[in-house]
Amino acid sequence: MPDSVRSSRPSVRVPTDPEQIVAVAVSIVAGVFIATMVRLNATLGEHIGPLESSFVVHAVGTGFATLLILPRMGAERLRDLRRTPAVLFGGGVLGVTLVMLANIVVPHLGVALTLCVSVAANLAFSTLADHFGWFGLPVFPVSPRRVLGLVLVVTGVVLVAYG
Amino acid sequence: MVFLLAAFNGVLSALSRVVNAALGTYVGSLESSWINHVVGTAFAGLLLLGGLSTGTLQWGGLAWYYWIGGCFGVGVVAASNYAVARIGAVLFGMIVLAIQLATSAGLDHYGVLGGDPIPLTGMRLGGLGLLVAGALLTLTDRGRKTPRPDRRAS
Repeated sequence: MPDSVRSSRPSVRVPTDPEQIVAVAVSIVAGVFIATMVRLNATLGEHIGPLESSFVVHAVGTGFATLLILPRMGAERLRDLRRTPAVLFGGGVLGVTLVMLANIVVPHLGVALTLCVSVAANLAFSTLADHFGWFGLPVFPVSPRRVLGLVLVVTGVVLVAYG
Repeated sequence: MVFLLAAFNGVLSALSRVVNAALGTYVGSLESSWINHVVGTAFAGLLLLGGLSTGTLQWGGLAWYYWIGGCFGVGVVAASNYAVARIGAVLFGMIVLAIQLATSAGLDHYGVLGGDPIPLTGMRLGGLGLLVAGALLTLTDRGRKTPRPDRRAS
């Protein structure tokens, strides 16, 4: 591990600028949005079906995203698209599956436990991906600190599951 | 079994973050979210048209706000665009994680927006705390990758 990479370890500083404080508030809203969205989608899924709910979520999201990007549509956007590797357009398939899985799981586990298990698996998978440098990303070997972190995360999930 | 599905969900979301980040370097984050939603709508639509139904797509019987989850998802992408540039991905990720867990525990506890109430016990709260602490250790360990290239035309 070259020093130049290690020394660029991110530091979390307490935000002081007014603009940063707004950014913290925006982050808080994003967290509330995620939990609320997972609950809304799952309830919709219980009424119309998990895949049907995922379809509606993506269709409505398309409409909303269109409104947001409309002001910056232009010819150069099309040029961006043409230069984009085709495989990257597959993210939507992952998205549909993600939402559908959550819709299936939430009625059984509740929102909190679903998110806990999902976050734990996400962190474990990211650690593996970093360790082996999957997807052509730089290699970040597993450290004792990360192992300790993952142990805490898994313990937390067990407590939530049996709490 | 349900736990496995939930874990698979987490793996997929890690994967989709990698794909979205890469797509974002070519077209911008919000555009990337738009593309994901268009492709997702087409994909789910084809599955449904192909006869793969898991329920009945019908109106009625549900308040309007249950139908707008998709707007929240796009809103989160827009929020992360704003916040990550100002406070960094690590702090943004930690705040979002802690708040989403707290909110979800609250939704479960009161059983609001659907679902049976799941009481917030001391053990459950402690578990959520451990999870956030563990995530903090894990996320702050990763050396920050070089800033994402911007491959957009303008």
